[in-house]
Amino acid sequence: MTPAVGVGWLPTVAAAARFEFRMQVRRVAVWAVQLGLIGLVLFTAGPDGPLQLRPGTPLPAVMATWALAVSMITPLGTGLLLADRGRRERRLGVGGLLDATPAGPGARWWGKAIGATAATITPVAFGWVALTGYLAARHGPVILPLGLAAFAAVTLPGLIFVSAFALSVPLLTGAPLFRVGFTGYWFWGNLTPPDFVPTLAGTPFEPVGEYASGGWFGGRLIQALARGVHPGPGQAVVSVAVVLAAALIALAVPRLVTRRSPS
Amino acid sequence: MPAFPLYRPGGRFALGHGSRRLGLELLITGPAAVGAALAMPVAGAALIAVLAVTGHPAVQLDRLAAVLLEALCPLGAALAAVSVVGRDPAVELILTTPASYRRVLAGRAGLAVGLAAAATLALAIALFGAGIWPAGPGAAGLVLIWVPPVIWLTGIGLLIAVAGRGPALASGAIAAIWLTETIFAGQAKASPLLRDQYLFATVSHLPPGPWAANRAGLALAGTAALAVTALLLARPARLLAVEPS
Repeated sequence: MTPAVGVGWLPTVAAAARFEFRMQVRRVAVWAVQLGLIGLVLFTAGPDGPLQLRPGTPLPAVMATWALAVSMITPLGTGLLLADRGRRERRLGVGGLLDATPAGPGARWWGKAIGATAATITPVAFGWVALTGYLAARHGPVILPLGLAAFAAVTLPGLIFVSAFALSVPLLTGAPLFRVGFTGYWFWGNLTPPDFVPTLAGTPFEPVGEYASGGWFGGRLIQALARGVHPGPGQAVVSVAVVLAAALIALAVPRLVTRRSPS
Repeated sequence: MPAFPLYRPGGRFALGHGSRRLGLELLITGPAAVGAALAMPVAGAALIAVLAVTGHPAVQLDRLAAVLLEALCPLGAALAAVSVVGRDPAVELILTTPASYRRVLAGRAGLAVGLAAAATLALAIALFGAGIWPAGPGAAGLVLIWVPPVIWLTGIGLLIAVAGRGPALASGAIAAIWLTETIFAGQAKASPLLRDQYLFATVSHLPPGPWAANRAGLALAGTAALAVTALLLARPARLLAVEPS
């Protein structure tokens, strides 16, 4: 990590983020798992798109439905891959050494969150760019800005939400328990029909991006539809805001707890 | 603390050394792995209990019991099992001792899966006793609903964990395979080749003949994967480059 003598909080965050990004993006597992999951989305899509898209669906809805399909599967890999990052320094016994540097623990934590999250999302973004290119060849260049918007609005908030919890929760539970609990949560809270068991799926609290997909782009609805909900743009704003706020809280709590108990 | 208390130098299994040593091994395996092994059966039992008390329809409870036993508990067991690979911060030091590292890993994975299996069996017996049970398998399902998927997922997961030198790739692969089988349920059931490697035969109501063949196919394939894993661990130095996680 770049020595941080005489530098401020932001440069330290940037240095830590750069280091964490490089470390995570070079892991073969990150690329293998994320590209494998994207491949699964492509493999399961029908001739008109994923999730039983029908011919003649408007392009915004097509892109949002693709983004929703990616968002249903890739956060699973993101959470599993990031579960061992938050505790890494403690596990390797280098926490004390890093504490002795001028880089404060808060700046290192936020740098880690930004860098590791960005690196784990990178293969998903690569896959999305390739998919958008393919769809642009099929539907024309108008799809390019739609692709960018759909990824940012539908897929990205969920990935950030999952990354935040995957970094912070294992500090308390350890990576193995988090992986099991998170996998169970993902299927229960996002993919389980609400008429089967009580679930968060189909509510604004689901990070899978269904509200953004349906509310902003007219994309396919699944669990929300099962609840009889047709989210509008306002509900989409609420859903995305809730998901991002929860991510921020998940990252802030470990820092606040550590600050109060410095041992 | 001894590095691997269940094993004597020379690699001879020594479980008879007593519960204190078992406790030490549990400590090394990690509370998180133990918690991971027990998480699904415990959470599943709580969920079914709440739904049963609140008057959920019996048909849905029966289906949920099948999902828990056949899909979720094996998933938790496999994720717990792969978490034991790559835990030792100084494998190179352990490899200089006379103990067999293959047996060390087998013991730890067995401990994690054994705990998950015990909890799943207890859950199955409780559900069967309460009459919350999927149609078809009857009492044979007490074991056959969940044991073959546990062997299959754990075998494949450990193989990937050892080949990939850590739990990150393996846990991602387990989740991806599990998800693939969920999505491709129709294709898997239709294909005679894939049907015997399909994890969710009970949930999908396969007829008795194909269901029994599926159980045997899963157990055989899982055992084969475990055997290949053991062969890979004949050279445990392959794990040297791993960073503990």
